[in-house]
Amino acid sequence: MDERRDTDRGETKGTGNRIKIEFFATLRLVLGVAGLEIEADGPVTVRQLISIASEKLGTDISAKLMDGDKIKRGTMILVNGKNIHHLNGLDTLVKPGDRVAVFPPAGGG
Amino acid sequence: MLINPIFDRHAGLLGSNCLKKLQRSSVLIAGLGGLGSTVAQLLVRTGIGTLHIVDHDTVEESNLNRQLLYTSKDIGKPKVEIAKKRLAEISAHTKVMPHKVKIDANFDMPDVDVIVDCLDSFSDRFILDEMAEEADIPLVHGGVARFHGQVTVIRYGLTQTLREIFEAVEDSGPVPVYPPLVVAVASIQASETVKLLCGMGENLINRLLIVDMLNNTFDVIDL
Repeated sequence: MDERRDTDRGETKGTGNRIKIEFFATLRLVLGVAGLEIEADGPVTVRQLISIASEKLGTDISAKLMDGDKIKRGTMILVNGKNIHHLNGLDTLVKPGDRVAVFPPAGGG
Repeated sequence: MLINPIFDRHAGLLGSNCLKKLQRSSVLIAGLGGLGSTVAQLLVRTGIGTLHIVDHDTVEESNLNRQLLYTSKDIGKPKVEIAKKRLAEISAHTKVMPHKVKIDANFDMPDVDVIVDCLDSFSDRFILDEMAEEADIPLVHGGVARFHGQVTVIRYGLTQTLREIFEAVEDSGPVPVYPPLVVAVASIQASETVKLLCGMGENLINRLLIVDMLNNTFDVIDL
């Protein structure tokens, strides 16, 4: 597995055998990165993906995105545009070529 | 068609057909806070025929940093009353219908062409989303927090509902918000509304726009 820091916002999906993870808004500040691509030979769960991303980034982002076994309050994770609450939560399988978007939904008006 | 001089500077841009459509259109703005204040003004200034404005609150001092319809003289007064007065001062072209109520299951949704979600909690938004889905009225969603916000357009049957997109999101109470960001997100909502009504350009259908004013980024996530 390998990672590549993402500066190209033109691509909409991970390419080849890569899974693309993008962070938005305050998460970019908190995590210090806009996104990354992770090479994978097959499907991994969102939970595993967060763990792999933590390893690659050298910082434990799981503490920022997860609260124990749940997604942290104020964080939303979409896999190919679908909220993982509709899929299988943190056990949702992500395949090479998929796009994972992580952001803090803004509730104010 | 005789163009109202108020619209001279955008009539040529949007075209007379679009202006006619706007004149015949009815829009409901849910929430007259930071987003709703700017959306209401922009829609009146663009030439919407009828505007339903819904808010149960009164103006507070802490609203004045971002809620552009109100001034310090309006503190303690109902937002919908002040808004109706101020919008009428801008232009008599739009018929403004105030509703001083909270949107809940008892709200009687008027027959409108578009609903603009300018509410300030996801729990209220989910109620609005259910009502909009039942009435099959397109919903232009906007939300703001800190330096960022999001916009998407819900077309029931063609897109996910707001409840599906933001499933399980919990409200955390009032959050700090950057005033210019609020106006920027509201402007995008007003633009999406006009484009929906005139069938113009590309709407944020099945796409979620995330605006980050701290880093000057506009990202679109395919939904």
